[in-house]
Amino acid sequence: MILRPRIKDLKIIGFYWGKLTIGLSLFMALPGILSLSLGEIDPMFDFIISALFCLMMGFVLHILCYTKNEPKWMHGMIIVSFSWLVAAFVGAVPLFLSGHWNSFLDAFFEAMSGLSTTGLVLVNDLNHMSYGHNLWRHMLVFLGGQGIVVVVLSFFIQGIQGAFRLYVGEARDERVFPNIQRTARFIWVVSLIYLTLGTMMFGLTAVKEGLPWGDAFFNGLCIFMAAFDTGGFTPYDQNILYYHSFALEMVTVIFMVWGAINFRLHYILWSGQRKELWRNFEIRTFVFTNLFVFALIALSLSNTQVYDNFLVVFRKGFYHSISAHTGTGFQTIYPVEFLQEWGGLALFGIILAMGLGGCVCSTTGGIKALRIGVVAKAFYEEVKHYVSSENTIFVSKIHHIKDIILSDKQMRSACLITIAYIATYFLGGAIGMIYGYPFIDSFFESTSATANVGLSCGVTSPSMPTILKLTYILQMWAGRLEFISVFALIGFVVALVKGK
Amino acid sequence: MKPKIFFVILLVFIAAQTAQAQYGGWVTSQALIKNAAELDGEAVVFMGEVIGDLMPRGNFAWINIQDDYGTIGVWASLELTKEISYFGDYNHKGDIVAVEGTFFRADPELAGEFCIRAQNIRIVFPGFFIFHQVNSLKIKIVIVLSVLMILLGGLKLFIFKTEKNIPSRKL
Repeated sequence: MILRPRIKDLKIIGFYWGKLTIGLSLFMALPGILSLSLGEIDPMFDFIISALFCLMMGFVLHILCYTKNEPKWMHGMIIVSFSWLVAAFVGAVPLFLSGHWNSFLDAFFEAMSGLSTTGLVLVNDLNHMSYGHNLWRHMLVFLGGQGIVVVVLSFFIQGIQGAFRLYVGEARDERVFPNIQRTARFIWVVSLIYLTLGTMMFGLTAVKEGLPWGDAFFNGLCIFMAAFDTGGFTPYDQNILYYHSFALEMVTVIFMVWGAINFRLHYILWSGQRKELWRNFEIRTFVFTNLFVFALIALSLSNTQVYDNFLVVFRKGFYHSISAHTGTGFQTIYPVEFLQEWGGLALFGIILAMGLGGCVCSTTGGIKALRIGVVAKAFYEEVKHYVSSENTIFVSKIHHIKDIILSDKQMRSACLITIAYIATYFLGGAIGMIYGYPFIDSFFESTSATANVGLSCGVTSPSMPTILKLTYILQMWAGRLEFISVFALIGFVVALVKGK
Repeated sequence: MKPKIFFVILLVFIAAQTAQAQYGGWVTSQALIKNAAELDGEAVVFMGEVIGDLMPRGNFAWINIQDDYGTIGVWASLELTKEISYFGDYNHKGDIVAVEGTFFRADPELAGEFCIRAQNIRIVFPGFFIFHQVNSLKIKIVIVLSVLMILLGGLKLFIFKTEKNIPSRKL
């Protein structure tokens, strides 16, 4: 029998939404202060309006839904899945007020793209956008990358047992410390240290490459947030191509790869166990698939002879292989070049890399290297099982932080998530085809949206059909939360309607 | 539409028509990107607004030029970029320039850059400072929201104090 959620359940959910929106309003102060300091008065008002709107929404929910009850598993999942929609909604308010988006839906699309660390854009005239709004776009990526709930956990929720349920709902299931709030804070501290170092690194390189000091460090801050959180936004419409610099491209490659690594592995490396990097099953899988994809792209580019020497093939091919595989979506070519110049094999390689994704418990999207490795291992064990004697017992073991014996349940779970991703890639592709886009274009864009990558072959634009915009919003959202919270939300809605 | 913006658009349109008539190889960014293979190594004229920053590299520099369809990188000697005064950003409309040069879809001497190597850059229309007026409606909204916020804050405080005075109340 399905139980209808009671007022008590709705109160818990509303109470935590309230906390989230209050938290987001505080973050809006940063771009507001930047706008004020740079004399961008009109944009500053956009942030004041948005922050007040969020605070009001948060206070109303806080007053109406005040409760001391802890969230259970169901609440955690619903809070997380709805929170991402609410955050994208309030995050879109300052964007819409800037006038750079045709409609609120377009601004909502961009906010969801930022929060889910996708990087697909519908913005108009990005090159003339204010510093404040540009910072907010990149902050959305940073907040979404760390996990909005992790943000709330770190700053607004003190010592509750339900914290882990919220944390898991946000597609993070590995604890660095036994205490979930210490884990959340560790993620923030590490991210802020990296943010400082990364901004310096990009800024200094950019100064060397001719950018003025102020813009170099502002770009450094934005690009680091977009690269480390594998988002793919940049302050200019040419994306990374704007800088015309091999050195800056290599700096972003370091950020992208670093952001695609499991946060628990970051902790292990910080504590001095560097050998783990070479022994880790997920890292090995990630390196192998990266090399495989780059080999496909290099072969295709050599065949099409679009670039006349290997250095350029490496510069373009390797960059996009890493950008796709880490789910970042930085581009150093124009979107239509993928289709026109790169050849079928390279396109297949890019789609494959986008679909596979980076490491679990990182900011990347896609199926993820650990699951790919586990699924491959499951296939291998199955084949071994058929060619061995009936009495032989196989034990599948991997080294991921520690030695793990793979159970059937783990393998089944990896296979299920993999199937869910692949089905969503095709479903989004089919909807694109309904609107007349060729198979390869719509499949490319659908994979990019679901795996939170942000590479585009030109389908995503302000003029694309509204249904397709909504489809990509849903794909970005479901892909970021790895479906589980979304399934829970569907279950919740069913229970509201059909429960007793 | 504000008269100044309309005037600029009109001037840019006239300048574009003049440039098109004057130069046989006048192209848009869309044409360069879509027909990159055919136009590779060809002499072209590209016109648009200079945006972002000047990025000097030795005796040369990168600039980025935006037209109605997209933005293209231009590699030019520092000497050629001296005339450019305004670079487009939030506070500025950049100079509208006409670039005469050779287009490369993957310039072998510039590590595969998709760009135009400029032989000549001419200012078609000078840029200017953009004055952004604060929208009065936004100020009114801020006032209304602030008043509502104060009322809500007071209500929240009242509830908080009431809760403290009734410790046995079940929530």
